[in-house]
Amino acid sequence: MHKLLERLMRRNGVAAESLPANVRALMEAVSQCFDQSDSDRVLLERSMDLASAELTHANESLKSELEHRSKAEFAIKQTMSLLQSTLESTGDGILVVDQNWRVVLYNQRFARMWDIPVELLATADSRESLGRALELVEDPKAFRDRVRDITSRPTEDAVDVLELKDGRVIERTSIPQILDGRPVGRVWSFRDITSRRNAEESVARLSQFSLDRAMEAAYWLDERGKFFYANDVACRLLEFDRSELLQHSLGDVDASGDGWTQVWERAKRTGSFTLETSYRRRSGAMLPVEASVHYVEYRGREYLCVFFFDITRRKELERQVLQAQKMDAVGRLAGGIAHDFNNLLTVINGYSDFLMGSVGPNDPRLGDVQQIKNAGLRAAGLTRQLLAFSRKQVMQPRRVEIDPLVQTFKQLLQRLLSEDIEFTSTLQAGDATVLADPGQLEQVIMNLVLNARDAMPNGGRLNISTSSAPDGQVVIEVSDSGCGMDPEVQSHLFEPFFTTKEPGKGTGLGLSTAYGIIQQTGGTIQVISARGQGSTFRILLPRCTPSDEPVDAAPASEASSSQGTVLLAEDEDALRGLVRSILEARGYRVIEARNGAEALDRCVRERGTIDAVLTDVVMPGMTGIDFVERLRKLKPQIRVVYMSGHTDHAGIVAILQSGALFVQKPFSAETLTSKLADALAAV
Amino acid sequence: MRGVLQPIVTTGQCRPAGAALAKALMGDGLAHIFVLSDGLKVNGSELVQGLRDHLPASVAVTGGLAGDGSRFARTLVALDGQVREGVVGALGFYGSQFRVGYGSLGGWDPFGPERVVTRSVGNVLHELDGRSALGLYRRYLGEHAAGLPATGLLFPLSVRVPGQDVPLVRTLLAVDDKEQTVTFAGDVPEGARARLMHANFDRLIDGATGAARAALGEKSWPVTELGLLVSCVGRKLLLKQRIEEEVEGVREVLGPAAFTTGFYSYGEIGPFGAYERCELHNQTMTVTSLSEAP
Repeated sequence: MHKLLERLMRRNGVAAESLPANVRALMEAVSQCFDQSDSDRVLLERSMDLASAELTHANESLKSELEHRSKAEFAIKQTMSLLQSTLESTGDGILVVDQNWRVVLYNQRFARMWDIPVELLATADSRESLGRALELVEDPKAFRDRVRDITSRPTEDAVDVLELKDGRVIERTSIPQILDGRPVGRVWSFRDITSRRNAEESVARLSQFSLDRAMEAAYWLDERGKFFYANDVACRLLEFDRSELLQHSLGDVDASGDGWTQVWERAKRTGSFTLETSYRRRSGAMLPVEASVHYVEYRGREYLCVFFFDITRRKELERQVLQAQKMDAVGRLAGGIAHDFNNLLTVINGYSDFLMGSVGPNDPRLGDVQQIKNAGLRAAGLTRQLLAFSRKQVMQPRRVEIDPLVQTFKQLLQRLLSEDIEFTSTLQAGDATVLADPGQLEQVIMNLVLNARDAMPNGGRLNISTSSAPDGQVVIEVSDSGCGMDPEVQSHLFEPFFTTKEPGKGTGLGLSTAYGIIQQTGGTIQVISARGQGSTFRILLPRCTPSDEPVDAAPASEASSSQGTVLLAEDEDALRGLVRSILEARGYRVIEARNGAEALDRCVRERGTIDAVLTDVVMPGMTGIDFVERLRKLKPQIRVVYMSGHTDHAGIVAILQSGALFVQKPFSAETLTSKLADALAAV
Repeated sequence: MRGVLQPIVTTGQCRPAGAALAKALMGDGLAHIFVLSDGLKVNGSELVQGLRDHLPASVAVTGGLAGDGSRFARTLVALDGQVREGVVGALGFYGSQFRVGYGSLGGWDPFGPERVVTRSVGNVLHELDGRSALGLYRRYLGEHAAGLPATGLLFPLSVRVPGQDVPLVRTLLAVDDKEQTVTFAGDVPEGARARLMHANFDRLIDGATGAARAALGEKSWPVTELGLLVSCVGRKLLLKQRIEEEVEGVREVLGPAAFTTGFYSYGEIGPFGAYERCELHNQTMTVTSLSEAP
């Protein structure tokens, strides 16, 4: 029985056992009701506890959620405020719209830029704002079409430029607003680029002007090789009007034979390159140029930019340098041969003299020996000319007044010319002087006059003129009205043994000799000629100044002596033998040495007995000059005569300048003994 | 009066079966349908929906799903001498003089907070307020949870579907500890509001008499001649020997002239009141009173 019921029955003095059966059953039923009620209460209390705990938890969650929301709201407010400030701080007008063209955000600059009242923007429908913008732009239809085009591609960026009726230029950028990978709207920003556009236009115009007027020629080609632009100089050099040139392609002008594809591919591959080529002018004349070619890609198209300049003058100079180098090389060769020949000819001629001396006047061999001697002398003459060409002839320069020299020499020249040649002279150099060997200068003039004569087999006019060039040089010109020369002949003109005359009529050394002499004198020789139009040879010589006067050579003594002991130093055995024979025939005692060292040794041994030294200059080992220098330390007063076939050796130049006695190979017995006598006499 | 039988193999056939029965019984003077259905293979909600869709509003449906006590093993339906499993039987009552009244009441007390069904599939409830439905049951039931699912009969679920004022009562049939789900004898749609319920003996008995009073119909009607009582098995298991009080209470209300019969069911069919839609109920006493005007 339920405890509550038990207690109640006990308090009321009711014992269950004493109750009738039906009352006891009722009490049992009541007891069950009590138990059920207790059970219900326990369940409900438990439920209330749990529900209360759940509510508390839910309440806390709500509070936390509220807090979180409040923080999130603050963060959103902060972000919005930051966003708005950022929007206001930019120099661009900005409008943000959603997919339905509702205004989400904008800044004041946008409203001002498009003159849209803020109240209109506040209505959120941006279509009305768009209507305002249409009133301002230059081309409303293009504006509307473009907006439609941009919005039809909701995930793509777009940039374009708008021109307004009031002159402003606005750059419009449109970027989609993407949320969770999906476009939800667009950010339109507008930048006023009016001043930038103006500046760009100025720069473009000024650049164009400077390029038009540049000193270097420039042009542009499009990808098909057609002229796209050409500056003033390019037009002038190519002899085209600009509009005319722009009708042409590079192929019409480039004479190099390179195809357009070749040029284009090379420029594309390398970026830029330079080349020498030739352009054909409008007149058909060739224009040698150096061009730099540059490949340029701009706004999706390709171009070549080419700068070029005229190299006609440079080409000419290069040709002249090449010619000079060639002449120099030929000169060295000729000089070397002539030197070797000189040694041989000295021996040949010397022994010919001996033979003639030893053969009686009635001896039938005398004529033969005479022929040998004559041939030797002719050969010596040729080698002298070769040396002259190779500028290795010994020069004895002095101050020469040009006009008197030509005037005097004219008489002699007149006799070389036939009567059908009209010979005139125009001498206008006045008192101009040059530093030259007068004999050699006469030889040059003579060679030129003979050349002119040979160019006029049927007669003509020949003129010699002198003058002063504006740069102070002295000019001598020899002109004829003869057959003239083509450029090919002119390019070989001064080479030794080059001749246009029939075989046997000329040596081919006349002009090369003249060239060598003028070069050695420090001047230049030029030729102006064309086939059938005569020729003019122009000699330019530096004008002489007082300090140019050379040191006079020591005067040769008239006296001669044939006694004494001579030390002979010479490495050529044959020549040494010849000289020994010549000297001994004149009564000298001769001590021989084969080189400088041996000569010095002999001098030391023959101390005091040697009166003079006759030495070659260039010898193997110790040279003649070194030998004499050492000898002079032992015997300062010793008398010396140098011999040499070389004239360009540094030592010889010094010897000549010091006034020492010198005899050039080939020499005759008389020349040698005379020099030696001079040496012995000069005490 | 006419009777028809409709076999059911899968639960998917319940709604079409309801429709077939309605069509079979439709005819001049159809006044009422009383359903006697298999209790284990039939989704009562679907069956009722199928019937409702094909009947005029003036024709009500009452009845129930056969029960097998606390065994849940086998239910049978008998009609015209045929006794079968897996069938739904329906009786059509015809005639202008025919009078029918009905009432359905539970008498269960809801407790704890009302919750939202956040996840369910048909009659399988997964989550309430985003939390495991089974976990919630166990927590609130305390020591009573040890006897689940048998004790579940004592703790049905009140389900209020949006748009309907009167909540339905759903009996707990099974639990799945692995899936943390609870299966009920009727749909528990997502979005519905749900509350746990528990039994109060007196109120259950009061509920039964209340249902009987509702079934009496209008005062002008003749006295009830036949009372068909369909009471939930759960009530019987709970009330034990006091279940007699339920029957006694109904009989007192219907009057001494009425014959009474009925069965303990796995689901009751009937409208809550005279003008309500008919629904599948759990845990109620559903009374249908029949009489014939003179």
